[in-house]
Formats: sequence, structure tokens, C-alpha cells
Amino acid sequence: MHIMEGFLPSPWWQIWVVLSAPFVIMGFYALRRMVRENREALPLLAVAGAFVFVLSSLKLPSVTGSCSHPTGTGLGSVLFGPFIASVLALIVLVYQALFLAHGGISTLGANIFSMGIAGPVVAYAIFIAGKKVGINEIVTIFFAAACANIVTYVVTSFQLALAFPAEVGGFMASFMTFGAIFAITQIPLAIIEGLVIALVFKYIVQLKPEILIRIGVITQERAERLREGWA
Amino acid sequence: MQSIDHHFLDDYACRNALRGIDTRIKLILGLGAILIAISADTPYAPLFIAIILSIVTVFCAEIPARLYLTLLLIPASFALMSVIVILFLTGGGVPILTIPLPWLTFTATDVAALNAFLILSRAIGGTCGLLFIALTTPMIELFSILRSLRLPDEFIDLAMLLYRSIFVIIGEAVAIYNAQVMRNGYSSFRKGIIAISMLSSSLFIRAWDRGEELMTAMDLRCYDGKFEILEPKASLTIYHILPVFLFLSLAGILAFLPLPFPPL
Amino acid sequence: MPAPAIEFKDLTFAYTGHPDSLKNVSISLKRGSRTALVGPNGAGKTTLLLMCNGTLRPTSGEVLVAGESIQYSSRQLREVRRKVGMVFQNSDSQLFAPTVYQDVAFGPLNLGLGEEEIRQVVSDALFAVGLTGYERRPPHHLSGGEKKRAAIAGVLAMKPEILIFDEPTSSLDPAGAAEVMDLLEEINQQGVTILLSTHDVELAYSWADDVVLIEGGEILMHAPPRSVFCDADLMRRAHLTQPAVLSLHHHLARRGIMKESEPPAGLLEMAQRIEEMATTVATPHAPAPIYLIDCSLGLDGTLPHLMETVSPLRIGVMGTTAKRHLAGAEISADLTYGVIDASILHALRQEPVVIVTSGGMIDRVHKRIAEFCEESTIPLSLRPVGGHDTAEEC
Repeated sequence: MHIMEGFLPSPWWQIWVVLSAPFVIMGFYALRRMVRENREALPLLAVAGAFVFVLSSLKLPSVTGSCSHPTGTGLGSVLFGPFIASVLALIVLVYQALFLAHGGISTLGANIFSMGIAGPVVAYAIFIAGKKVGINEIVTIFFAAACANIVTYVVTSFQLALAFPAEVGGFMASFMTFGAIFAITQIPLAIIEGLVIALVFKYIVQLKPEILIRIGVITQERAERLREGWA
Repeated sequence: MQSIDHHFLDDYACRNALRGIDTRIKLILGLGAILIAISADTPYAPLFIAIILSIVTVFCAEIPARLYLTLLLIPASFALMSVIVILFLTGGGVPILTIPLPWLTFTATDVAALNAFLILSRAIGGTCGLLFIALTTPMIELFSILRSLRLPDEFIDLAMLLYRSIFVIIGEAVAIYNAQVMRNGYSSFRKGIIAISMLSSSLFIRAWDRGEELMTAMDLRCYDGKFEILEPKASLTIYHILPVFLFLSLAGILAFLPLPFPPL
Repeated sequence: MPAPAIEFKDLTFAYTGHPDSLKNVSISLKRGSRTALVGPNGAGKTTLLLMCNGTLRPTSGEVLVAGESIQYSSRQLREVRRKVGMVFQNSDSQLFAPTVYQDVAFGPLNLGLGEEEIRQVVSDALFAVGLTGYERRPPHHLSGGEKKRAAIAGVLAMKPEILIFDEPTSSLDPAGAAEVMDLLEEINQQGVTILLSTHDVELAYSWADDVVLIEGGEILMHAPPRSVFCDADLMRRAHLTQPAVLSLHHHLARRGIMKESEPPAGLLEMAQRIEEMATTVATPHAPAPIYLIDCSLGLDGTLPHLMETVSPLRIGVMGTTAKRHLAGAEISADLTYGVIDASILHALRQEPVVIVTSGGMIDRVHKRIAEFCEESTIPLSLRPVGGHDTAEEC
């Protein structure tokens, strides 16, 4: 969920820029390291980022009939880790603002925090945890993507509540209300995005698992076991 | 599901009537407008910004009016939902509208209404600033600005490669989508989910293949870690600087003048 | 004798886990030659081309570029890739920068050239492919033909000695294809060896000096086009059809109308033969003159004056410089590809033609016309305009 341009007043838009900056700067370092170690990283990250952008411009089939776009950054995080994902998210968010009028420039800080940091971190944590525990990857990915989506919207509600606290009940009341009102569209969207990303992962394992094996998301044996299970 | 829209605002920016003007002054205008709009204490400045920038975008940059109005409506649902929450939550003052529901009563007060109006006006002003930048400044002109901001080279290279890759991938997306539609891929909700998952996975695989081809293509031309940046076109004249300066000064004054709101 | 531009010695290659894609390939390409690699889909054409610049490494055998075997060290590979430029079939795979200028400048920049040099080299390359003024355009705003030319410019900017094209005219409309082939001719004129793969037999027949026929990873034949395309069995084995002109000749020969042993080199020669055989030959009129204008001296005066005095006049143009001059003068050309032969055909129909060209191509025109006059004993008249040359009468 993007906060639109002009919606966050001072000092909030500045605060979120300051809060997001360290993470993004770490992402720059991670990027530099990755590109230095592996010269193939740059073109592959570029196409992955372009994929995330295109994915986020697709309209998902929705139950409520409203316009719903996937965030895509959850998948990016599972593939490359949260730091690189935040750098990709920065580029994707700027392009979304300038090419699709989604989000804004003053709200970049806030949107990076919700969509480029919080979401990816949660997605990555769930994915790693699921792998350790040994849960089926497809199920893990579903939860990773869906929860990333939900966390993103929850953080956005948090950001709005901080900027616009209620007269009665202050921040909490505001947070609850924003949360409740956006839940109507965001919860179904999260489930649908989770489903879609899980299916995407499944199809990739079926069609070209070498990609995932190469990045290190999944091992050769695991891919084969999964495919046998579906055969 | 509607078709994939593969026309981005960037295409309009590449063709707009103001594209020859120095990128920096356009950025100063747009970013300055957004900054003033979100900092204003009264709606006068944001609305002034919205009106002037809309006129400039539609008449000077020659962007079709109908398109511009459609773009303004993109964030409408977010704005509406958020403003309603603000209207009923941020109180103070005299209640003007009360909606009693079994479990809760929603009260909108006059102060809240004024506040909501202010926030809405800021959003509109900001959006007009964003649209001005998006519709008059092609992305290709912005990469050199990124470099002058001292952002890391790998990051800018990534942004440039990503930019170009978007157009190749979206072409594939449209082709796959059309092929699916022709076979009724989206005729039901369930089929739609499966169809879009197949679209996305095919797209991912094709994108990845393109990534590997890209590496080969770069190596073929002796890639050594360097990318060329397009020199910015410098064409700054007083006829550009003066109006921008005047506009931003006016807007700034309006923003911080202690004007009464609501006007009595 | 100078070392061959490219040589394959007993080359075998297989993708990991697959059967051999190339089997014991041994061919040698002369410097400055124009070679077409022809074969059906899956024959190994692209694989063979990717060997030429070290992208793929043979399982056994070696690849020599300008006499030196490729060692596959990163330093040497850079040198090889500077000498051997490659243009992919799909231009979208090759154009990766946000603007045309940045893409064409990529090669020179990574080769270590300085700012000023890069500017010059990019400007020259864009001029050579006719894309001057396109510097700030993003590739997705270019048409298919323009993308292909931009990709070629990117490679030309590195000043290669050898150019490799994978299916240069696929996905281009006939006009676009003609432009690209004309460009390749001009590049070859400047001494660059060209190797292209195609399954367009007409293209291979009319353009190449040598044809390499490949099928199932094996070289079937490496010979001039006439020898290769006349072998009907070979054509069938390679899943190819004969060029139309050869097919026509073959049928007429079977009916006893023409001699089997001398296949025509092209449309012009075929038309000549048929005319010679025509029983009712109208009183042979003298052919119309072919005018020649060297546009490097400028067009003012010469061409417009000619257009006024000679009518109707067909205008043929060869080379990028000439095309720019014509575009600048807002005159549109009638003949843009295969200009010399087409001009001769028109002249034989009593339709005067003017060829506008410059540089090395002027000699080509003289040579070809002299050749034709000798073979056919028809008195063609080549008249340079505005120069000091006297008219040639054959």
C-alpha cells in the first residue's frame, strides 16, 4: 500500500526518510559487495527488479472488485535477502511514482520503510524459519508473501496513525481505525498475493529450478523431491 | 481483468512540449511545489499550487486534459478512505455530523472537517507537483542528476539497466497476457489466479533468461564495469528561471502567511 | 598470404549433457570476405557464431582469430572481442542502456577511450548506420529496423576487423532488410570481414562471396553460392529451397531451353540470357545512359540540373553518405539496394538512371559496368556528371 504524494505532513515525512536511510545505505554496501564478488549480479538484479516492477503493475483478480496490485518486494527479499531487496524497492518505488503515479516522492521514506524494509524483513524471516523447520517451501512462500503484504499495510496504518492521531484515544484509536478500514481491501489482497507468489514459485520449480538453485534459495535435492511430490 | 497498460507516464514525458527545458529547473519547480504544499498551514497555497501546475502541465506541456484528470484520480480511493478516518477521528470543536451505529458513534466536528480539507488540499497540491515532474521530465534525463547526488555508481547502473529491462519485460507480459485472454484465461476468479500465476512465472523465467543474455551482451562489448551517463542538456534562460522563482515565492508566501482559514 | 580472419580447426562442441552440436568443423574465412552460414533451424549456426568471439569454448579443436588461437584468458578474450564484433538476432537482447548514445558508447567506454574520443566514435558510428540525431532516444521508442541499426552501431563503435551477424534480416520488413544489407556492403567495402548466418537463401545467394552449408552440426559444403545452391540433393538435406532465379534456370534447363551448366548469378544475368534467346528481338535500341554522380563533392547543381534535362530519370543511391545528401536535398531515391544491377536493367529498358554515390563505391560501379559490357557485348554508356572523368562507352 502506497501513501500518496502530499499526504504525510511535516515532520513525519522527514522522520521516515531518516528512519529508512540507514537500511538503504546498508543495502548500497550489500549491493557493492555483491557486484564486486559476482559480476553477473548486476544484470540479474536488474531483470529481477524489472520483474518486480512489472509484477506490481499487474492488476490481481480481486473479490472486492477494487484495484489491487501486488507489492512484489516479498519475493525479491526471499531471492536476494532484505538489504538488496530494499535497494530494489527504492528504485521500484521511484519508478512507480514517476511512471504510474503510485505513491510519491515526499512519501518515499515512509513507503520504503513499509514496503522496502518491513515487508521484506518479515518475508525473509518467515522463509528462513520455514526452511529451518522443514516446512514445504511453497507453503512457506505463501505465508512469507502474504505476511509481507499484511505487515506492509499494518506499518502504513501505523505511519498514518502517528501523523493523524485521534482526538479521543490518540494514536491507538487512530491506528485501529486506519487498520480496520484498510483491512477490507488489504487482507484479501494479501491472501491473493500469497497464493499467486506461492504458485509462481511452484511453477518456477517445475519449469526451471536451476534459477532458484543458482541463487541458493533451494537446493537441487529439495527441488527434485518437490517435483516428485507433484508428479 | 483489464488489459495490461504498457504505456507509462514516461512515454508522455519523452514527448511533452517542455522536454527541451533544463531538467534542473523542472525538478526545482516540481519538488519545490511539493515541499511547499505539504508544509503549508492553510489550504490556499496547496490549492494555488494545484491550479497553476495543472494549467502549466495541460497547456504548456500539452498533456491531454482527459489523461491528466484520470491521473489525478489514481490515488482517489486511498485519499477518500484516509480522509474519512481523519474526519471522524481528529476532533475538537463543534460536532457537525453524527452517525450513530449500534456499537459506536462517529462524530465529525468542524475542526476535523477543516483539518480534513487541509490534508486533502495538500494531497492534491502534492499530486499536481508529482504529476508535473512525471509528465515533463523523462527518466533518461534524471540519471545524470542521480550521479550528481553522489549516489553509488553500482546503484545508478542498476537503475539504468532496470529501466531498460522494464520495457522488454512488459512487452513479453502483454504478449503472454493476450495469449491467455484469447483462451479465456481470466473468465473466472479461480482461473484468473492460475492465469496470472502462470503469467508471472513465465515472465520471471524469461526475465531471468534475459538477465543471462544481458551478461553475454555486455561481455561481448568488453564490459569492464563502466556505464556511460548521458550529459544533461543545459538550456537555462531567464525566461525559465524567473517564472519558477516567482511562482515558488508566491506559493511560499501564501503557505506561511497567517491567513484566516476558514475565510470569514 | 595474410592469415585468415577466422579459422576453425577440427572443432567439436557439445552443451553440457547434450549430444554434439558441432562435429569436427574445419573452415577458414579469408580476410575481407563476405560469407553466409546457411542451414536449417537447429543446425548449429548460432553455436558456431558464438565460437568466433570466445563466448562458447570448444570441447575439442581450436578457434583462430587473425591467425592467433583463442586462449580464453579474460585479457585475451577482451582483445578477441574488440576484433570480432557480433550482432544478435534479437536486438532487444543487445540494447541494454537507457538511451542510444549510452548504448553505443558502452563498447568504447569499456575499452578505455577518453570522453572526447568516445563522442567522436559514437557520432561516426551513428552516422554510419543513419541514426544521427537519435542519441537521446530510449531503445523502446525505436522501430525494429532502427533497433537493429543501433545494435550495429554499438558494435561498429569498437572498430572491429570482423563482424558477425546472427540472422541480420529476420524480423525486419523488406525495406529494413534492404537497408541493413546495404549497410553491410558498405562496411565490407571498408575492409571488414563479414560472416552472417541466415536461412534466407535469396539473401545468401545474392550477397555472399562464399556460402558455408551446415546441417546437424556438420559442414556440408564451403564454396561460392553457385556451387552450393545448384546441388539439389544438398538443398534437400539442408531443408532449404533454391533461390528463385536458380530454380527458374533449372526448370528452363530441364525443358531444354537453357544450358544446365551455367547457372545465372542473379536477376540481371537471367534477364540477359532470356533476352538473348528471345526469337523475336525487337530492333535493338541503344540502352539508355547511366549517369554517375560523386556526391562527396556536393549535389548542388549536378543532380537537380540532370533531373531537369533528362526525364524520366530514375535515381539510385548507394552508401550512407549519398543517402544523407539526398535526404538533405529532399530528393527521394527509386533504387536503394542492388543499385548497380538494377540500373543496368533499367538502362537496358531504355530508362535512364543516375547513380549517386561516393568513395570506394564509385570504382565498383565502373568495374561492374565494364564487366557487364564485356560479358554481354552490349554497349552501355556510363557518364560521370560534373566531374573530370570522361564518359565511358563500352
